[in-house]
Amino acid sequence: MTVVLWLVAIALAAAVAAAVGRVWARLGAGGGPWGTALSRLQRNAGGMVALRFLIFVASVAIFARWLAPFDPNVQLDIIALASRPPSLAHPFGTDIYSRDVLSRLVHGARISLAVALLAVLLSITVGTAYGAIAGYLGGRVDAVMMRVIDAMLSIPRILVLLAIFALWGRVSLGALVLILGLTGWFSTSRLVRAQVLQLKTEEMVVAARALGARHRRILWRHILPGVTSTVVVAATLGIGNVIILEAGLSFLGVGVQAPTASWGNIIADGSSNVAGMWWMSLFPGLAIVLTVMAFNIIGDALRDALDPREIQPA
Amino acid sequence: MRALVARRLLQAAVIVAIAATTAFLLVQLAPGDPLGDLIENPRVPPEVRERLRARWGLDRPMHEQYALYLRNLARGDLGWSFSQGRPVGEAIAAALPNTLLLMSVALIGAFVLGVAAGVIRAGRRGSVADRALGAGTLVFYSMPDFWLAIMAMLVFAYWIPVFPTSGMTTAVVYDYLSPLGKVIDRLRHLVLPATTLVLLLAAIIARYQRAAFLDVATQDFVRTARAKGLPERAVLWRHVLRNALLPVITLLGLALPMLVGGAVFIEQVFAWPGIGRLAVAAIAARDHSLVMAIVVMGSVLVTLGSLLADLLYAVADPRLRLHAPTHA
Amino acid sequence: MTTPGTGPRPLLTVRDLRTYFRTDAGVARAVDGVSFEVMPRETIGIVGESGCGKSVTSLSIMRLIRPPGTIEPGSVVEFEGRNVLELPEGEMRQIRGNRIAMIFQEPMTSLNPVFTVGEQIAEVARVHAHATRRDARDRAVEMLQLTGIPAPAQRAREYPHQLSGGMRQRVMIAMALVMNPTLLIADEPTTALDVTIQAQILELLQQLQERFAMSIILITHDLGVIAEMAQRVLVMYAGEIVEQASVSELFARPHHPYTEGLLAAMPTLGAARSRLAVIPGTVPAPTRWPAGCRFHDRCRYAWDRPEREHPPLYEVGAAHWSRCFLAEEPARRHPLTDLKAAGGGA
Repeated sequence: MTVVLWLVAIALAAAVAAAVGRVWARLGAGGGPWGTALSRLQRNAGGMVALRFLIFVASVAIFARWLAPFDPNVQLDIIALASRPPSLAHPFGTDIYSRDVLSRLVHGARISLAVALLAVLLSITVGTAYGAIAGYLGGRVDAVMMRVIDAMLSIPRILVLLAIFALWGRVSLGALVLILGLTGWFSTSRLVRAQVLQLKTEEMVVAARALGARHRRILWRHILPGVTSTVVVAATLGIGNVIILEAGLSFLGVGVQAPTASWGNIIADGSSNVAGMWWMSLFPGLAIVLTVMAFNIIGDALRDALDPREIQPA
Repeated sequence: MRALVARRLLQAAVIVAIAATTAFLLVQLAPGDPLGDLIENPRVPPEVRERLRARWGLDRPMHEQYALYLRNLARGDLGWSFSQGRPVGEAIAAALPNTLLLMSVALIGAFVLGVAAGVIRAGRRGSVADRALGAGTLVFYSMPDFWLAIMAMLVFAYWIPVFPTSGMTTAVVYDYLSPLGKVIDRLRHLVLPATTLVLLLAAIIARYQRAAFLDVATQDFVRTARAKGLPERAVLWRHVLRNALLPVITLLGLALPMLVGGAVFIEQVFAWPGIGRLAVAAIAARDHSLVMAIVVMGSVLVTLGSLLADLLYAVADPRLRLHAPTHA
Repeated sequence: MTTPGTGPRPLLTVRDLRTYFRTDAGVARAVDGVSFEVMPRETIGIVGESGCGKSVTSLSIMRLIRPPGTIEPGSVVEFEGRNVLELPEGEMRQIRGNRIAMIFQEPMTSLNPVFTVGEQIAEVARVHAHATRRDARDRAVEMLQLTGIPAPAQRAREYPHQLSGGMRQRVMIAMALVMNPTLLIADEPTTALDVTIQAQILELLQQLQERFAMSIILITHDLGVIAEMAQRVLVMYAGEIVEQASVSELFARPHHPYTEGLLAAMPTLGAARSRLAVIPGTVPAPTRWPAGCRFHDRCRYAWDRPEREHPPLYEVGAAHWSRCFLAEEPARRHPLTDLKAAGGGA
């Protein structure tokens, strides 16, 4: 019975994915530089498969409550159903507390995706602002700002995160997003700064400045649109990165806290007995790999679409 | 060349100082006491607590503490680790060689593998080999370090038990092995953690190397090499690769932070007694001084790595090694 | 359109050479049916604006066209009696840098920055003559000396960035001549150089041509260089040869309007040329050559016929061919002065 429900649910999610895909295809037909990039992206077969997959994962995350066959946090039967390998009733098995792993995985998608999206949103905002200011102002301010970035990049991100968790202890989801976001913007700011330095010398901006446009106006109207493509690519690739990072932290027990399920802490729940409970690490891990891969494929495809390298004759 | 070294050393010192200050500020901003569990433990008498605070200068104003911290750091005094029951420096010194062993094996393996994969992909762009390697690269690039480690352990230590699951040596038995047996035992323990790290890092390098290679492959001197009648092999492996390796040297500096991150997880999974494992243990114990020391040390390691990369680059690129045109 | 008579056999015969690039934007017909011959010890010039297919022609002779470019079937490049387009790659390699050598426009980017110039010259001897390391190095120094580089033994140990532009071009020439080739293709060899250095390099090429008894294909957009160096000229436009003649004939009696334009645009000593003499417009994109005569939209004489029909090559004088309907309707060529006035008004 649950299997049937599950199949229906998958079909539903796939239908949503297909509908979104159709709207998307229509977007590409529009003109302008973004329309061209979109239509180029749509011709990238791998990118489109990845996109469909992501839409599917997102639909699963959004409709998790209706899709999950069981309550992710309910211990079904601690005596009869604990640590069961995959079966028809529990396709991905159960954990040591007899909770259904598939249901936890589906709800985990919500948490893992939301944390990654919000954290990346925060870090690209901060990174873009910082990089744009440094690049636009230039000179000594820029030099100081960039040395700080060098220093921040010299500390491995994982060590900073571990230090923060060591000092603050376990944190709420909101704090986790904040911490991940605020430790991830350094390289984005560097990219943006480089782009701004280049844009600053371009005719349009020079002309705008000659006409006496105000700094804020130049930044908003001329420079920020120019860095959008760089930022979009960095963000797409960054999401995959943060999903991996959050999974790692949750695996170490300092990320998303029990009983809330995230892909990382499901693996952590099974890590005490890897050999005996392989399904606890295999399925969430596959979910992570496939999702991150999809983000990376789209990131690469976007980069190619926005910045086509001409193939030079000879 | 000497000026370059001096300038880069100064930059490195500034970077480490900023990183150390950040670490200090983090501790100051954090809730709770830097002495952590020790202070909060109700069984520790108040006078002992006060004596400890005075001993570590925690009763002084912040700027004095900062000065003290920097002075101690410069002297190499990293403080006392409460969880380890020994000086922080000692705990780190015991763990560091193990991590360095793992990291250097991984670094060498990953560069060889990553560069080869990148060159093969770029040299035969669009071929089956390019696509297969591209897919493999992408998969490993998208994989969490700890998960690959778990899967490697599951397959090669449990299902097909060819390698040991954890540690650096086989407990008890190790002491009775012959010298050669000891080496073999250590190597067997090294295989899984090192391979895991190699695959993850090689994926990053291969992605980068392919792009660098394609970049160089369109340059004029490559056409010249072909026009000379050189075989394609010589064109790619000699003329293109020598130039495409230059940006990869820079990657060496960028790879170190990732390597440190990877080491944290892989040491944790395989119970490898290195810095990463020490760091995770320090968090669990909320041992502030040990955590901060590891952060600063990580930064020093990475800064030294990128310094080394810069110098290597200067040696490898004659345009930097020798100065601009000397003859009109 | 072959050179008539019963003289010596040509060293190189190019027949109906077509090199296309299949790109996203369509098929770029960069070289579209080019035929010519090069006689032993002759210097032949190829002129035209950038984008006319000069460089692609030379790279096609060397078979150095990279994907997405292909030399279309039916094209023939006969060198020393063999169609090189049909040779296996291994045999082609034995011709490149050995029997046919090439020098390029940008001596800075054409040399590998991470090897010394000596190594790069020696490499040619190593691969073609299987010379030992020491012999190859000696040969490199010898070649540098031959190209007039002072202190050649020392220069051989230097890297390209340590040399000046003229010096680098001498290195390129030294590298090209190591194996004493019978044909040298020089693609804009002096364009990137100062005027005084240009003259030196051209003189050096002439000396070495004598010494090695080579033929030279000289590609340039500078008719002045042609006048100085070549015996015969091919004028290329939009992937085709539009005019072919001896240098003296071409300068005295240019037939094709494009050639006229090129000659008019030439700066001559003592007389400042009016900018109006420059051909209006630019070379169209190779994916979209105009129908009819490919030059008609830039031609000052154009009428309805060249807009519809593609002109063949007409023999308009002794060993002089032109791809223009003016050969049939000479009355349509109005005096140049009128046109200058008309062009000024437009």
